Amino acid sequence: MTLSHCLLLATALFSIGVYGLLTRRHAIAVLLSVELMANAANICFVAFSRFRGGSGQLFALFALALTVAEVAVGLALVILLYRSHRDTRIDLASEMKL
Amino acid sequence: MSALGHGALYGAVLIAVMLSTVAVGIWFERKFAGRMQSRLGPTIVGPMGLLQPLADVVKLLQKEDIIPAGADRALFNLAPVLATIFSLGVAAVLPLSPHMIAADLDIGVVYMLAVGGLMVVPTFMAGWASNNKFALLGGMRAVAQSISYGVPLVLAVLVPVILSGSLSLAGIVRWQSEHHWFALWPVIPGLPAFALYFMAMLAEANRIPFDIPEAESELVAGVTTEYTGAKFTLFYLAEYVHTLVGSAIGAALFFGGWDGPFAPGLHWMVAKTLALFVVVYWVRWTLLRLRSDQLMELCWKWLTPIGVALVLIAAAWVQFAPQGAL
Amino acid sequence: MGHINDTLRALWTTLRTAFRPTSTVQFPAVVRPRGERYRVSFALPDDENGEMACIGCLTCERICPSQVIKVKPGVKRESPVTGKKRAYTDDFVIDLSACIQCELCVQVCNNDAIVMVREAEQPMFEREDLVLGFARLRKNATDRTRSWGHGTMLQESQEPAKVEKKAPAVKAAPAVAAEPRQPAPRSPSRAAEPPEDGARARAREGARARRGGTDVSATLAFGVVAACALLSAVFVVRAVDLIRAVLWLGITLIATAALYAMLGASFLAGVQLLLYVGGVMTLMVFGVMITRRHEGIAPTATDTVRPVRGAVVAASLFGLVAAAIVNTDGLDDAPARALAPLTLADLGRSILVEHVLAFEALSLLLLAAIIGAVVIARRRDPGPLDEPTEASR
Repeated sequence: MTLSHCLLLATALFSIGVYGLLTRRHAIAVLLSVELMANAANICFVAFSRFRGGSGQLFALFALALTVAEVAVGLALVILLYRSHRDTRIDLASEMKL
Repeated sequence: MSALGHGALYGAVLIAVMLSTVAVGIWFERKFAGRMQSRLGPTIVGPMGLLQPLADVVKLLQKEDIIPAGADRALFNLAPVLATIFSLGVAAVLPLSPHMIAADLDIGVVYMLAVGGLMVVPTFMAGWASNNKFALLGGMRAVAQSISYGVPLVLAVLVPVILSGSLSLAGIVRWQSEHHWFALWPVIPGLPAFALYFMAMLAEANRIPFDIPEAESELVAGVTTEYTGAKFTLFYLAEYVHTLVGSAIGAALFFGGWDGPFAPGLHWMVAKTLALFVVVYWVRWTLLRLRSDQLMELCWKWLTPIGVALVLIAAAWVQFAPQGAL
Repeated sequence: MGHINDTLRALWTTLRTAFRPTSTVQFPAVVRPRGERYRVSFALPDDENGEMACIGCLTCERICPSQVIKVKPGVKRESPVTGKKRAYTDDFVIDLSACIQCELCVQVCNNDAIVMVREAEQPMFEREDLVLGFARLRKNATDRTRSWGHGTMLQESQEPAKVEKKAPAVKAAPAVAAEPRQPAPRSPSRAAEPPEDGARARAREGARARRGGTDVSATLAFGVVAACALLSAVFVVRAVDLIRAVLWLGITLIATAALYAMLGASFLAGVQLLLYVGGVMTLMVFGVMITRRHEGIAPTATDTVRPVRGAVVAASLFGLVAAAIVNTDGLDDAPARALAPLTLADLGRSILVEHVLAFEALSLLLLAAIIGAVVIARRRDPGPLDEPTEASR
């Protein structure tokens, strides 16, 4: 296990997340893809802090908290979307007001 | 590799001990519940009905294994297995005696909370996969309840962590055996924190009065509505083990774990665990189930603020208490 | 306060009861004393001359509300004992399975020819066994203790009423034969099965990685974890059933937690499990369950768009970054050269000393997120409920 292994893994996860983000239309599925990408970023932080030192772990902790907040707000938006459109496909929310 | 072998052997022994404790616990619960209701409890199978759990198992395993039409088969089958694994997984960090800890993690408390929190995954899996509205409602309730009661649980557990300055369960018990039990002193964050922990633990293990994910009278059997035979048995086992482990952790965090005079540490730990286990039954066969909204109100309007206050008080103790008072 | 008081009182009550003698007994072993007038079964006794008293007058058959008595009157003939002519009965059957023990038959009998007996309950395995035939009725007369009442006495005790009571007894209502109930299965019971031990293995793995395991085993473990993470991530973005996608994400996150543990960030691993898997994932599931469509069909994600274009973008992104990583020198540190892992105390000090501003900003953000989520998801106008609410669904 080396730093480059970790980074490659993170990149792959991130790319999968991007793929999901681009191809999925269901709002919660999009949220899941975003989670994947955030997770990949966190792996990078931790890997760098392990192999290069510094406060990467700390940053990952903060990022975790951020993600939780993001999910809470994101899900609230999804529920709002569902209320106004009775559906949760993300491209329904294209008119800037709900 | 020998350390690994040791660990595996120890784990196997631990699991066997836990399962037999659960079997005796079932017998005891039925007997105790009977007595509380002025009944005799099981008497026929074996002396004093002692073989009743065995008979129950045989009965359950004989039943037809049903998978409902339209169910998500993979998830449906996976859920009971996961429930058992997660509930037993927490036991790894249990400090049974100074020398009997399967894995003395320095973040034992975090591990315990994390794996315990995973218990909700098989619950909603079962609720979702059953393709049954009662199961789904039960699953939704389980999710809401688990997320909510995770907060007071963490806050309650934080009190001994702050007071002892350790995240390792063994470390916390060691601190208590050198000083005093947290349930006794300092009384103000200690005892209420235990009460908080106990309530949150009941909620996490879906025990009465917080068993709304099951709620027989409203939801048939909640998430386990569609489960029969061996799978239902696994769910029941998981619930018992969850309660047992929760009691053990409560004993370790607030009642000094293995600490006690005269007898070896293991005996004390087991005695304290079983005492808490009995209290769980006692509560279960006494109180009524809370309504869903009452449950949420209790959690967010009472337990969580109280928990925050207790954590602050604990921090104040550590900061301001005179030397030797803590 | 009132609730706490009530709770404690309830607990005290049950505890007290638990140590009192039970109000039930183990039936076959212990039989409670029966009441003086306890009555269960029937008998056809003799009269004072030692002959069967029944004359087959059918009064009992007519009065029986459950219509469980069947009498077959015999022909009149001279009694061998007294020499007088009298009526006899050939057959007498009582179906105890539907008998309500009202004792009306005893009450109306002018000959004291049918009485009830104080016999303990006799549970039977077959319903037919509950039918009392002629022979058993006769046998009961000698074998069993008689109950308190017999016809003459019961009629005398109601003397004033009896004067008017000439008319045939109330027409018996058709009785509903009660099905003997099977005892319901008792409370579901529990069992033990040897389970697996995944979490422990994971924890051990993490511990071993902290100690710096051998190069090969660490690489192997990394490979396994990475494969798990990648595979499940692919399923996250491809799964049709959203709940499954969420669960696959859970596996990715658990694998990531294992990776953190291997990288010496065990606290982070724990937090990852606690927050992500225990919190975020369950929230997601809740979201999926709440926003499922009315028809009860699981929200599916079959309606993916532009899969090819998405794949191309993702693949080229990966290719680009991966090439950059591979072409950068000095990224192949072996774990042996890695720094000592951060201790928990270091981490805490770092959060609350060096980065306390970020920490406080984060708590502010979390507060804002909570308020924001509540405001967004709140129902603006409760107004007329033209659509089903969450609660009513």
